[in-house]
Amino acid sequence: MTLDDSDIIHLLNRFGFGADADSLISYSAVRFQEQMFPKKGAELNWTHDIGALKAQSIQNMVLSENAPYEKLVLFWHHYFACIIDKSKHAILFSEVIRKHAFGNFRDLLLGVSKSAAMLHFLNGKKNKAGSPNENFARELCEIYTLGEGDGYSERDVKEIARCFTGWKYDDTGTFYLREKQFDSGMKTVFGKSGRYTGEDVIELILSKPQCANYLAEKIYTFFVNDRLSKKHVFEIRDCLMRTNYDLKETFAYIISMPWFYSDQNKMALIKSPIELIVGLGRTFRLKAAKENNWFFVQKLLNHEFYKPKNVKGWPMGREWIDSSSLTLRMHLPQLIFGTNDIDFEVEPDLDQSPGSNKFMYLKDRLKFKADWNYFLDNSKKVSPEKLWFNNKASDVANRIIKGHKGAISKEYVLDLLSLPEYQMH
Amino acid sequence: MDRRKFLKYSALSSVGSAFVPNFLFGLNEKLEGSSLRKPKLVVIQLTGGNDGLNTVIPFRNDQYYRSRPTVAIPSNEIIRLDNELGLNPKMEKFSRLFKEGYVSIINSVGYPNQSRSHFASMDIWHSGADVNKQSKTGWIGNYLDVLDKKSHHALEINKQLSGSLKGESISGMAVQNVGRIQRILHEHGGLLAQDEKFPVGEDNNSFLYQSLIDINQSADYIKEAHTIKTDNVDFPKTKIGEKLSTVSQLIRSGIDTEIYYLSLRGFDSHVNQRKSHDQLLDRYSSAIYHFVESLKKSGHFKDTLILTFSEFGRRVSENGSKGTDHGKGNSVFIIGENLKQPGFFNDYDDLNSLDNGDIPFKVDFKNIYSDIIREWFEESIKGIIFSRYKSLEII
Repeated sequence: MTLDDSDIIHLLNRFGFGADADSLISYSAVRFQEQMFPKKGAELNWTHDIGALKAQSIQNMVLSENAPYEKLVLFWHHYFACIIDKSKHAILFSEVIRKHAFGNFRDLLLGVSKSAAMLHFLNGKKNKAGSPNENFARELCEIYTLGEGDGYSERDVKEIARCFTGWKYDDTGTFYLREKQFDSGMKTVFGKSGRYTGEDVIELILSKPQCANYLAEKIYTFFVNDRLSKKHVFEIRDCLMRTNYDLKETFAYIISMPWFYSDQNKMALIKSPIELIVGLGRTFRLKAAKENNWFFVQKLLNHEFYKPKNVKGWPMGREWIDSSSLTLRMHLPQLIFGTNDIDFEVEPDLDQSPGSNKFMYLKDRLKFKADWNYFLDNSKKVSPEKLWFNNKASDVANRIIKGHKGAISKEYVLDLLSLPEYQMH
Repeated sequence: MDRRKFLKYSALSSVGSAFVPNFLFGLNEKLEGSSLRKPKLVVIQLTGGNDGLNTVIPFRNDQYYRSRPTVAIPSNEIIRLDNELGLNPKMEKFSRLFKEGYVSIINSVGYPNQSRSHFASMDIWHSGADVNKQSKTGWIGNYLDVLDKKSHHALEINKQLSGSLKGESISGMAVQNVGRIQRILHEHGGLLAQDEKFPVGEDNNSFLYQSLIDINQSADYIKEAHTIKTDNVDFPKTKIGEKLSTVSQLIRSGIDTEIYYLSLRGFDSHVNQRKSHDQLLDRYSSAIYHFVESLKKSGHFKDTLILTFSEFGRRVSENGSKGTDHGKGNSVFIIGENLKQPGFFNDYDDLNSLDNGDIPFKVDFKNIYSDIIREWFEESIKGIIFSRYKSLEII
């Protein structure tokens, strides 16, 4: 299949954080496919402060030479929504995701289930023989594998909880099984009986087509279109089942399909705040005046690493949009580039005392330095309108584009960045 | 396309302008008439976990004094409301409202399997969903969605929007942003200029443009309608006083907003609680008193209901730092002119039979939400609150 410029821009939007001039010029689809699936992401030296860690998580995405990989990492952070307070647990959780992001879903699911972060978040560590805690078992079915009420019963949840009894983590965050607390009796899950362990249950779940279907829907929503095409979701589901949940093969399949590049899928998704920030970061080679500004901007936009609202995860698509958030997002480039001083304010943490201004004022917290020369050089190779709007500018946007004469100015670029179209990819 | 959208789009395409100034609003007014009851709800969120036991105090209870050697309030200082319960000494003004019969106090409010995390518990109060049915939208956002309201029908006096006001297709509006929103919308080459052809369709880009037009209309409406900019009583010069002064101005302007939302923060009293907590209650009590006075003067109090809540109560026993840690059940205040049950809805439970050292929950907060929707707004709870409750017969 030959890809034209618009197709490659689309590919880099979805499996990356937007296209840039150089990759558009140099990428062929074949090369892209090769580059897209490295065995493993870059090794990282994690910092051990939770706030700094959140900053680092975004910086990785901005600086990475392997944007597709980082995009997958972001997807799995959405998929396995988990609130994590301890930096040690957050690092281990991220390592599991990074290790298996392009690997096998089975390993990823098992790794996440055994992570200290998840055992803490969904009370798995309190799940004991004789006094089971069903929290993890329920969300495992409902949020992480099958979808609400699809292919399991209340009875199954109770029995699945018994299989995960005794799962613990030690001081280093490493998983172990406390034999004494494990319920070794017979369990009946999905109508089959056995002395199942947690690992067995994960196999039982994976063998259900509902699981592949649920994962396929999530992948489609995140990477293709939030209006589901049943036909294409089924194709992804079948691919997952055929390959025994091989993620690399499944993603390779998706980007080899003509439907992925169809006109209706291009520029169809609303960026999440992190996608918006990382896109800006990469396009303008943003450098934060203070590293923690990368954390602050997550708080400002309510898209904070390791802190989804609840187990249902961060919002998606239109859920991100309200009057405050939309105007803030459209205005973000001006705030970041320091050309405007409108007083946005960040909601302080719930336990913060009044008068404390830890996060109240933006002035210094949103300072980023943009590399305008780098950007202007690139925009001579390929126009920003082409990269950002991919032939999908509305009449309103086109009026502004056509009204512009002469060389690209900072003012004009800010006008483009403030268009609703820039919120899309 | 549903009827509402059709109206919106056809209005846009025929007039060809983002500013359809008062076309839709005018229509609403004509349909509703001016003689109909226009109920307003004001929600006050005490952020951080208000210590209910030092707010509504069982001053005859030995257990209260035994559990709180330094944090308890001496019984001679307490403003007595009946033979068992009284108010924090700083709530003298609030006690006047109580004695007038404008206040109903519901004790031991919470929900099953209560979380002691600020974040999780606030999320549960915002969503109005069960603990195991977490939701991405809030109960007020659901109200806007289900009843096809506009953004400005629920205003938060803040710069950012709380989870309560987040809906799926429509959310409330943070009102301290109105100026900012207008400024942004009119910058950038006049994004929403007259005679513009806006993208119309079911796709996400059309959704963004449509949202902008909605936001712009609501911002314009608020700015136009917010004609009263003066106080009719002396509001205290505190943050909560200023916020309630704004709400009073908006209500007295005759604006058709139905729900106002504001929060007062700083209630997380782990350390040296007495002084800071008393001060917060003082500010709350004084601001709310003047707010009621203001609405009484203008004749709007009969149409206004005020709900005050916090994400959880605090432990019965004090901690080692002259403070209290996160607990469970808590008191909720409902303020209005014609309450069915002014005074105490229920007693405190025996402090000797606690749930793990906490006041156990007896009344589910969703029951109160449900009563507000059904009895105050006279709407069905369908799609807004997801469990059924028998009326508490308060409102």
